[in-house]
Amino acid sequence: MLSSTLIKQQLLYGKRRASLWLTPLLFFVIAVSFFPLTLTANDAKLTSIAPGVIWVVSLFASLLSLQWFYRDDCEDGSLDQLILSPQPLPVLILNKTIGHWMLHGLPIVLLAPLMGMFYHLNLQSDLLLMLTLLIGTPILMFLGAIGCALTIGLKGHGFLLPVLIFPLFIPIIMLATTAIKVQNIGLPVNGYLALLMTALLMSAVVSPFVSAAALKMGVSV
Amino acid sequence: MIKLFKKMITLQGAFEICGQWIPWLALFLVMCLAVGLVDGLVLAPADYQQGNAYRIMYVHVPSAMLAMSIYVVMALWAIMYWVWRIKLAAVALNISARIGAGMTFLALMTGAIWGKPMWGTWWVWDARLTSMLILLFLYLGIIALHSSLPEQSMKAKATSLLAIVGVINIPIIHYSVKWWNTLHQGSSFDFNANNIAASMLYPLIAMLLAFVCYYLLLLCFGMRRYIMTRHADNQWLKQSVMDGK
Repeated sequence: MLSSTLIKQQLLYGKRRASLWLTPLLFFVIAVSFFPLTLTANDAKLTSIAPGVIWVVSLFASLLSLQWFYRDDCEDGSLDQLILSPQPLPVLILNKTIGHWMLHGLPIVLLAPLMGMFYHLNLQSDLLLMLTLLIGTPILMFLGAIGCALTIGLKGHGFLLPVLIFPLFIPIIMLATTAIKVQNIGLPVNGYLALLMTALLMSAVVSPFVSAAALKMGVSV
Repeated sequence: MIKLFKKMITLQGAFEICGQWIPWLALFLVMCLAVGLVDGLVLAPADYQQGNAYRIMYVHVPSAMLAMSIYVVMALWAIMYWVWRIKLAAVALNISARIGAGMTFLALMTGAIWGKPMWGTWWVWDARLTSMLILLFLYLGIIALHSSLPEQSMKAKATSLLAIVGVINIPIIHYSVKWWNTLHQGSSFDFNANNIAASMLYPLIAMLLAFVCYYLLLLCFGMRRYIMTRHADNQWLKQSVMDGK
């Protein structure tokens, strides 16, 4: 890769400060276990709401982590260096997003099946849930990176980012949860997974360029 | 044509052209509205199934169609801005976002009012309703971004980027929601099938034209207002206003 240093850097952050990725994970576990407490403890109902709940909460957790996507880099000036560097900016952003996902998305994906057990999901649905999260959470990060780049340097607008990117997330979350529903009634889910993969590829291709354009404009002002 | 276009992208040209169009647009709007309302609300026959309640269609369908097309038009403004750096295109984008959000809201409201007698409920989580709701969120996101950025050129760049990303998403949203759930009746406009009687269709077309005129009229007013507030101390502007252009 042109500059996998950025991925390594993110992972190094994670190694040095475990709280960086443990706190969103803790948020994920606590938030997921809130729903049975407030909605129902009925097994069948829990199983039916599980995919949706886990997906929505991982969406929120991703968003919380995205708040930090550029913030430190922006404050200590390394973002300017990133933009000035001779490497193409979209590639750098692609790597940064992948690193960010490995630090903040992957732990959620790995923990999700355990949360599925909380909700009495059967093994098949549990694995499918994990698979959709594995394909879906990078999409959240790619789309979120655009939102981060657009709102960079805006202080005190914590709610703007979710408002901008939630509508873009809706198709992803719908496809993923529908896939699990469809599997439960015994229909094939390949189509949904293929669509999710398409969304992943599309966002991976489009997002770095849009983010780069947005970043350049934010910094030039 | 190119001459007109070149004139349009200058401040003075846009100001004057908008000024020239306003009376004509207003006239055409009143005509279409008169034809559409009288024909649609009085002359067109009642529906055999829905009775007179279907007449809300004459507001619902045009506003829903405009809600979607304004988003596409907005993306075109955005592309114009990114390709040729026409500042006024970004202004038009911002005004369009506001009008589009209004249209989407109107479509949702009239839909709810129509849904109550027909489906027995104000709201269902049906595919078309849901995608309209998401469209409203997309519009509101653009407006929110526009109002929270501090500076004019930043507003222009950021909102146009978001509009382009949004327009890529619209077909995706449409289909994902469609496969998710559907209860809404089929489209009233379909060029292949005869879903609607001619006596009901003509007033609908008149209303649609009226809504398009309304959009253009608001756009012209908005552009003129923007130019007047931003460039109030320009000599040509004072002269133009004095001349009544």
